[in-house]
Amino acid sequence: MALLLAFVAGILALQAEEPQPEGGTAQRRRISPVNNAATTTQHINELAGDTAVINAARRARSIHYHDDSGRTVYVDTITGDEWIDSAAVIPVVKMKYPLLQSASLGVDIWDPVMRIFGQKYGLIGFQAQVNLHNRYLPAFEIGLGQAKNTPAGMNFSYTSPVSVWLKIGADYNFLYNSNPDYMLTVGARYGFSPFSYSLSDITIDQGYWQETQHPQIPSQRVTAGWYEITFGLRVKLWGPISAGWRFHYHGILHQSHARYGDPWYIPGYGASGRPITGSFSITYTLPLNFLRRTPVVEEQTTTEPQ
Amino acid sequence: MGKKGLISASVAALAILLCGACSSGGCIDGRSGVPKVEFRSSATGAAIRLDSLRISGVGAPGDSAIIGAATSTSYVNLPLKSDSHLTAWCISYKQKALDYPQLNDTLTFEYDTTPYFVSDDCGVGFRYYINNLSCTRHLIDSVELVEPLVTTVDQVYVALYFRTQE
Repeated sequence: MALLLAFVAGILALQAEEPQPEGGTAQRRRISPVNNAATTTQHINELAGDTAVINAARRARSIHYHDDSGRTVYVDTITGDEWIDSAAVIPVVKMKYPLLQSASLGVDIWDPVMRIFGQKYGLIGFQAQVNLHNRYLPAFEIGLGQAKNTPAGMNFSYTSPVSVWLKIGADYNFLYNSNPDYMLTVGARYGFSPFSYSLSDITIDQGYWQETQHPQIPSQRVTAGWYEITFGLRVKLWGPISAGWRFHYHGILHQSHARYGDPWYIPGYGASGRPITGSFSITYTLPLNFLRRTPVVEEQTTTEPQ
Repeated sequence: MGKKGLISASVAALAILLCGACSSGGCIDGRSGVPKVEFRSSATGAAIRLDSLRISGVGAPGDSAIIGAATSTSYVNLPLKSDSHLTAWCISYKQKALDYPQLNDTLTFEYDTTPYFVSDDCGVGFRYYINNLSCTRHLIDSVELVEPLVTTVDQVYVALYFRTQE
């Protein structure tokens, strides 16, 4: 052990010894002092052009106010110049509401109400919608349609039994950073319906030949698909209940053509030849707060030794 | 947008909905298809106006004429019987030099009839699919079937070529 310690001490002594220059004695390194007149003003000269430093100095001698865009406008009290600090970045909240804001279920009562006023077609529709950031609202709609009409002065009775219709699409809320209880939306839908229709009580008079015919048109089974561009409003009525108006501009995308003519009524679309229809919904909104993760705080317990 | 603005917009939207629910215009195209027959010159092929023609349906009640001799026209609409597959029209010439029964021509349609729902404004009518056309050749040179499916669309379905002086 003693030999080992002596060996280590010798190595350390050798490392501490400076190398001797050839033919001369050891020289001491000269160190120039750090603080001098040049270094004292060095940092000032290097930062003379720095925008942040310049603006800081200007802010010190300015007052400020906030414009309509939320930007801070400084006014130099000496020169009267107005300027905006480009180095100051004002964070703009893109979407203040979370991804899963809420979900809503609605019932469209436009057709039942219009039937009271004499409309001869339509039944009811239901809508499910998810609110993403209070901005994007994908939607799915399903409903039932039916028609029975004997127009006055016409020579037929039109019947279409209860049939299902479907729509899928999404809305965009322009008021996405405002109160979610009120929405102004634009959207698009694709709709589809398989259905059937028939005509009866047909009377056709052939004026020149003075004959009257009573042909029958059997039940025709057809399908139709259409697009919709929708504009809507939703306002809160009470609690989670809100009311929504939408009007649709729509057109047929594809339709199977029957031998005896195209249908008058398409479930979910309405009467053919009318490019604008509407809907009125009563909606229940379910907040989705419970789906968001909340931080779990662990309780620290201490036990005293017995 | 405040609540007042939304309420105002709601009222406007409701008004638009009610206007959009209004019905469309009345029937424009008619109910049943009627073949339009155009008169043409056999020499030039161009449409010509003829007068002194009397056209009546064979077996029509009271032998009533669809056009009379006093009418000058380049075409005629000839309605077809809906309870039959055949309709014949008699064309007689009332010019002094041609007013002979043996110079009368007969134009015969053979077709299929189908009831057709035109629209809720027009109702139900008939469509015809012409399978065959035939005619006698006294003053008629030939007949051409331009469009076999007769609908409510206003177009020439049959062309009748007459022998005319060049």
